[in-house]
Amino acid sequence: MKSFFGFFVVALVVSAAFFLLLDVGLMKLQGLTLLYHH
Amino acid sequence: MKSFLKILIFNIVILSFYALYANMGIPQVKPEAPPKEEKLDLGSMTMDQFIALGDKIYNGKGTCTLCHNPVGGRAPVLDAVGSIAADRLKDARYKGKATSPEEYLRESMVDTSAFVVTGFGVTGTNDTKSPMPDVSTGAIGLSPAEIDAVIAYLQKKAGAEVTVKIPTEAPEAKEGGEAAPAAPAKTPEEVIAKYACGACHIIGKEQGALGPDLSKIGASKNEAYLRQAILDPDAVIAKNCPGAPCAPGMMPKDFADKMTASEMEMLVKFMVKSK
Amino acid sequence: MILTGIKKVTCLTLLFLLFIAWGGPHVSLQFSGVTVANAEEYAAKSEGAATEAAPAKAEGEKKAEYPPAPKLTEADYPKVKGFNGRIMIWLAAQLHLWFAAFVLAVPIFVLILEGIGMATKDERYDKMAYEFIKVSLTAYSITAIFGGLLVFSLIIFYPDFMKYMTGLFSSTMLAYAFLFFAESASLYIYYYGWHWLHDGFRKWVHLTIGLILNGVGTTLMFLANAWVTFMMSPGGVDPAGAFQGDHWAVIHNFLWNPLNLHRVIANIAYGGSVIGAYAAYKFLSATTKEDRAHYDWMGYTANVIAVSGLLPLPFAGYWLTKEMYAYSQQMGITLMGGIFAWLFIIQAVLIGALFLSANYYLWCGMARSQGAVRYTKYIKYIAVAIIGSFLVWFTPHTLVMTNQELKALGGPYHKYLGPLGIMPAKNTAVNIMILFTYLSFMLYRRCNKIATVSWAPAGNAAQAAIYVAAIANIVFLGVYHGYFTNTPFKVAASVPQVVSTLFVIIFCAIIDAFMYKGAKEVAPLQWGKVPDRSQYALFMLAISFTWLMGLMGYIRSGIRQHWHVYTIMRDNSVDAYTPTIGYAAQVVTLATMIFMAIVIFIFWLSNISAKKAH
Repeated sequence: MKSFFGFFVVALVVSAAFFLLLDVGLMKLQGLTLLYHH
Repeated sequence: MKSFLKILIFNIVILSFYALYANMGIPQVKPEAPPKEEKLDLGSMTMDQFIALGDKIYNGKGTCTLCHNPVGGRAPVLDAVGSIAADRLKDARYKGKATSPEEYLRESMVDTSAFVVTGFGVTGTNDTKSPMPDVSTGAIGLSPAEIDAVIAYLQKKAGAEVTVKIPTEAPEAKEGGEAAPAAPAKTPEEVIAKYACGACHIIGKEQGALGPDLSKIGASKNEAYLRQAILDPDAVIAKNCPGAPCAPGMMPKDFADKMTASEMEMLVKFMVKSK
Repeated sequence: MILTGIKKVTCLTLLFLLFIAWGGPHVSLQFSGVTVANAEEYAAKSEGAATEAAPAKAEGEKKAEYPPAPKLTEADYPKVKGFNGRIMIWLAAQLHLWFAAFVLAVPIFVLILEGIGMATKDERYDKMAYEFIKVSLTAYSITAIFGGLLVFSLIIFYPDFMKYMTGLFSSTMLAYAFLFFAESASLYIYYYGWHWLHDGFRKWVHLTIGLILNGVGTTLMFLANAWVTFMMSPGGVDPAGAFQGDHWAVIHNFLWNPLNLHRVIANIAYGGSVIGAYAAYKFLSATTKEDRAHYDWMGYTANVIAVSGLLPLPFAGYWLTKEMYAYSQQMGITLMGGIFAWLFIIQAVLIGALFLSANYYLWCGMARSQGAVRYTKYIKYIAVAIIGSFLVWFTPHTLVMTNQELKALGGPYHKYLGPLGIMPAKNTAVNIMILFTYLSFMLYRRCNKIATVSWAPAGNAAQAAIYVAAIANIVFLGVYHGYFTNTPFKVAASVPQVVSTLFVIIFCAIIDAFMYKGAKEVAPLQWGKVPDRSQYALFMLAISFTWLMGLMGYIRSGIRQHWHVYTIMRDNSVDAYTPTIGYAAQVVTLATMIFMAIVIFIFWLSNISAKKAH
């Protein structure tokens, strides 16, 4: 149980970072930033 | 057999649900009928009526509001464009050839990429290319007179001076813009079509509403009168025109040069028989 | 050993050559521009590049060779007593498409199943593949019947339109007709030669014939797609409709490839669902345990095929719509923001039904294994997520309101619920639905096993984490871009959402593949041990798919509105008007009922053919 949660938290942080990079990269590919600037 | 019936009924129930939902659960919007060619009754129009026509086209046939509305965000709202037009001409990004606000507005409907408002260009073109189609052709196909009406409407809407003049000539029919064929017409109907008599007169199948009604003209006028009316329109001004009194200078004077003798005779004989 | 190697190399070479043969039509279409008829014109054009006079001459020649689209009046449309031309064409085309989709899809997964059977040496796959191809054989002739009816109806009711189209597409139409020799030959050899070509090297030959069958079938569809997409996004002609000399430009118009992709994927999904219905029907009327087990397995396999086709379909549809917008903003907006917009709400309801049926079938399927008990507690959460997403998916943007309602709402859109009607919310909802459907599938796949690898907890943790992160990401993208940004951002945000979903599916599939290597089968799957109501989920899938295809077909055709060929050839018939949604739904329902009747007939035929003589 402990080992599951431990791995889960680590994996969650890594995944979150991965998806953030993915978002920025894919928006950049379309000529846009991730966050909207007026 | 029993399972077959159960399956059949199940499927029919599902289908009925979908059919009923589509008929009752969704607003039954009746789409507009396909556009018919409208004969514009320009000669007798006041400016207010012309602007109203522009309004009607803007919200109808022109399909402008499909994109130019405040919520969709696809095209700029045009409430003030009638007065902003002057500023646009001075804008550094303006690429067009217009020299007046009216010309700018006309150009913006046909050469739509001459100026693209920031944020509304095709994605990836950095606002240099407009997604708007040329409204004078294709699916919208506005005639020059209709475009003028929309310009008048936009100028009025912005509170700017309405500089457009109501066109005095009959507008070209949307789908018949080709030059007249070289060979002389062979039937009275062809003559009527070729010289666009129906733009102003009720004659043959046409329903023009600017000049006198010619559908029964043979009952009151003879060949000589009719021949003169075509060759020298201002010689005798008719008494009854729809809307406003008949005025000199309305009917084209160059039929004498354009029509062949045979076409003239055919037309006159046709009119004399129309009683 | 060497002999076996030579055999394998021989067939691989054969396969390669046949790929070329299949690709040939595609490539040659590109170069079919210059024919004898317009060679003179081409010569004139190329010579005229330097001089002034020649281009004018070529113009004149071009005008003489290729006339513009005719301008028709109501009188040009023949009437036949007792028949409404528009409805005839509508029904014939739709029925043709349903059967054609089925007949194209089945060889795809039959080929794959045959391949799997060869790789695993499991005879069950081969037997099932054979049973699938048998069902599609009768459907093949019915496809042709409706094709013939369609062509006759087009000639009878729209002769001038057909004259214009045949003028442009004569070469593709002839190619289409002649290719049917290849299609029939390969289909019949594939089916009738199944047992004769069963063993050893012959099996490779058989597989190759299956490949040819697929290649020819796909080419046929691509040719027909050219005609249909030309009507929507004409290319290679001038604004008056006169052909400009380049056949490839006419075929390769804006919407051709998006429709090609969409139809290939949709065919797979649809074919799977129809086979699923067949299996469900056989299951419910089965009398022996073996039959029940066999048809349960068949239904499951068909459902997997249908759902794997269903998952990428929204994105193929999205590309199709995107290209429609790129071709004509007006057409795109009429489609989704104008009078056709409400149809997409009906589509949403149907897709919700599809997802719910697919999931329900998987949940019921967990009854096949005792080991599923530990996962059943998650089902309610998955159900909540899917139903919640469905509610967002089906929320309309523009409501038809009275003035009082407008005042009460403070505008045409609700401040918070309004954005649920636009694409960021829809994309969020569909991505969530896809993810949770895949989760149902993952749970089903592991319900009869226990992983024995040492890193199983870590593997599960990784999968759980990626799911949570992906869902959070998708929701963040949807909410942020839906409420706080403008249109280009909203449209662009769909890409990271889709990629997140695809990434999760691929990642989890790979982890599962490794994690369950050598797994202990605790409670084996008992095929046939599944409640009867699960089969109704398969019927729901098939009937909803069929009706949805009918609805979408109506939209695709109707978006041309009063044009035969958009902006080029006006439809001036009495039926040129766009009907109300209710009317369209009635025609589609009628068509679906005719389809059902014929399918019942086909299933019945397969029953009587199995009966022995008395």
